[in-house]
Amino acid sequence: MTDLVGSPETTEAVDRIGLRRRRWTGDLTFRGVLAALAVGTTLILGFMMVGSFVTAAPVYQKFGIIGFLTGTKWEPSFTIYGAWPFIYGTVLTSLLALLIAVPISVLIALLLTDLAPARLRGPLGVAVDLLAAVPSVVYGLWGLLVLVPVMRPFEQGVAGTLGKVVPFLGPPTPGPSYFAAAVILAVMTVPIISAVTREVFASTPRLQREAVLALGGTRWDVARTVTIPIGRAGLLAAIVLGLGRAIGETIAVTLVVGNSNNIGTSIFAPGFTLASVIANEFNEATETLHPEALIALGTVLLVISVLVNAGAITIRDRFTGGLRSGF
Amino acid sequence: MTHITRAGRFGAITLAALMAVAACGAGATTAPATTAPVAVTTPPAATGTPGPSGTAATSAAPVSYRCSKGDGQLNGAGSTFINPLLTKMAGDYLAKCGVQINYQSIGSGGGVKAWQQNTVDFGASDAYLADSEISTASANGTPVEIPTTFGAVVVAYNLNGLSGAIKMTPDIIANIFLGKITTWNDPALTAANPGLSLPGTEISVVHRSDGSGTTSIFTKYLTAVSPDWVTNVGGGDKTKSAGKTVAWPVGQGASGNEGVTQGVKGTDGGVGYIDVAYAIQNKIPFADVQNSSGNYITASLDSIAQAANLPSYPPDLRFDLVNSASPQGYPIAGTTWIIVYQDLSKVLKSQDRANSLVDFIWWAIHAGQADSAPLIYGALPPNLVVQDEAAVRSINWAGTPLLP
Repeated sequence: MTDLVGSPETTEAVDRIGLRRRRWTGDLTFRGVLAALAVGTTLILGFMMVGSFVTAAPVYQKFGIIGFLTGTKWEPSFTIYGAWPFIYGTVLTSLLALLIAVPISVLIALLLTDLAPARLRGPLGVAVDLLAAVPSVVYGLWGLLVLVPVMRPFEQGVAGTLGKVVPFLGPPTPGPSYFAAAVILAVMTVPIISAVTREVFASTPRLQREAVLALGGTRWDVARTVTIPIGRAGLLAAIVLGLGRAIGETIAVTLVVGNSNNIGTSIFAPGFTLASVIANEFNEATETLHPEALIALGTVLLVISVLVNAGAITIRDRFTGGLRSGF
Repeated sequence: MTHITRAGRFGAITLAALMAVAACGAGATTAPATTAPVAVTTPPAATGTPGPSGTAATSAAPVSYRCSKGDGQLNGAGSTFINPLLTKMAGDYLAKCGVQINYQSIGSGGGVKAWQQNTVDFGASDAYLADSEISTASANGTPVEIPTTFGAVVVAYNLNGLSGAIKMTPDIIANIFLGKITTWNDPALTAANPGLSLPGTEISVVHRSDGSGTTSIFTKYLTAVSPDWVTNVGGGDKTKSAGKTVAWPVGQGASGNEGVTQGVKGTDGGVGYIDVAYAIQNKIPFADVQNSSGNYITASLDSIAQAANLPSYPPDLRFDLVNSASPQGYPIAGTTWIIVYQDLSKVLKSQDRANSLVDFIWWAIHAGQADSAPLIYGALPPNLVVQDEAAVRSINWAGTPLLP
């Protein structure tokens, strides 16, 4: 191949059919379009950041950025705006969701790559992937109408026993709560995490896996010694991807989180997340500084999302080194 | 059924009053020359003295409506509470006058905001405008607030296995929503309900998470009856303990009457405040509330009408109905206002559109009232219709009245 490229015969042939000129102008146009798109995307993010920061500036001036972030009261009728109840709710529901979703997703991924009979893997994989296609409002309504009433006796049971020792698991147990939101978020993030993890696990070296089996290892040994360690970076990236989804999810969470401005002392108490408070209150934000404060919450959400995604990239780069992880 | 009959009687009285006033206003002003002459039916000649606004009038004549077409449609936004009524009215008005009313049921707060930003022709709100909201809108002129219908907010609950309505005193309601009464067999509740065996179920409070006129009526009531509520929620300030959003000390939030209804229905021991129409449609039980005369009153068309029938209304038509002094009046009642600018030349594109807007409102406070009783809304009493008419007549186009 290398002999041909640049050889007089090739050059002549390329000139003859006008390929060089076309490629040159084509490349230039293509590069220009791509550059414009890349710059445009970055500019949009920048505009969003700057725009929302400027609009919300009166809130920062009144409370200070730290004061706004750590303020525990959100009382529009008193012109008091603190973001902490919502940051707390977002972080708590997202982490609880991951706590539930990650083990399930890893087990699903292992099942689909190593354990399930070959003829079942396809249909099972499709079924899990389809979970990602369900609109979030459907998850929310299902959560509100089906899941929350079913879970309430369990919550009351836990609150009545363990909750007596650990206030974090105690009453009240009205049904809609941080915990309910976390369960819905877990159901929504499982397909994302398991889909990515499955690809990662599937791309682990077949030779190593067969070597473990040849040495008399079980399929669990394969997962434990080969699949999970090698797929670790991809798994972490998948988790962060799921976290990104959980943090930004709005309508499903709004329907089941309980929508209370007070910081719940228990995971079974109603609360709010950043996205759901914005969705709930923006239409009706007629009090002084209320719209600005909600936009400020949007900025906080945006910053958290950017940080999470930056974290995902860092994790991927650190753990993969030169190796392609499939993510 | 008696409720409907009663409301029907109201409607008849209302119509009679309107005819007299319409007739009497006919000779007072001349329609502007540019008015689109679409289907103009001049009210019959009046026997009474023509006056600038409805005062004493004696004659009764068949009523007719001008039905200005304008652009063939009008846009409104606001109160979710009035939505079923406005939807019904819109259908009837389209059939009668061929004008489409597009109403966005986004909540009273949103409706006021849309009206302030001039993205709709009219707003609808379950709370009259606060002074601050009027000043925000002042760039577009003065507002006219037209009471259009009445409703009640009920304390709905879900207690498995309980038959019979629970009775509640103002203190009980305040303490439930303050989080001071936490179980259904609280001594205060059992004392007010000697005939009922109330279970020890935990009370789960559900309130609105969106800004809402329903919340406004309910918290105005709590502010009127409970100093404790004012202290704990408003920090002693009555303007802060009542409003479209307040700082709820307990409970979970849900969006819209539908959301609260679902929250109550889905939770054993749940309690929330919703519009009476939603409670009846969803067959969800609600409490009888003790009024200022000491009587326990069930929310109904009749008891709403009793509460809404004031001897007189303030000239700007901004009034509260909560904690009615009427012995048979339901104490948690409220009004929905249609809100427009007084001088429509500043906000609307054409005078034709302004004409079609005032014609719709005129129709809504008269013939449109017939739609209210079947949907469990209280119709306007005659003396209020007279004041509403004066308000609609004050709407103008750069100083020229829009109604003939």
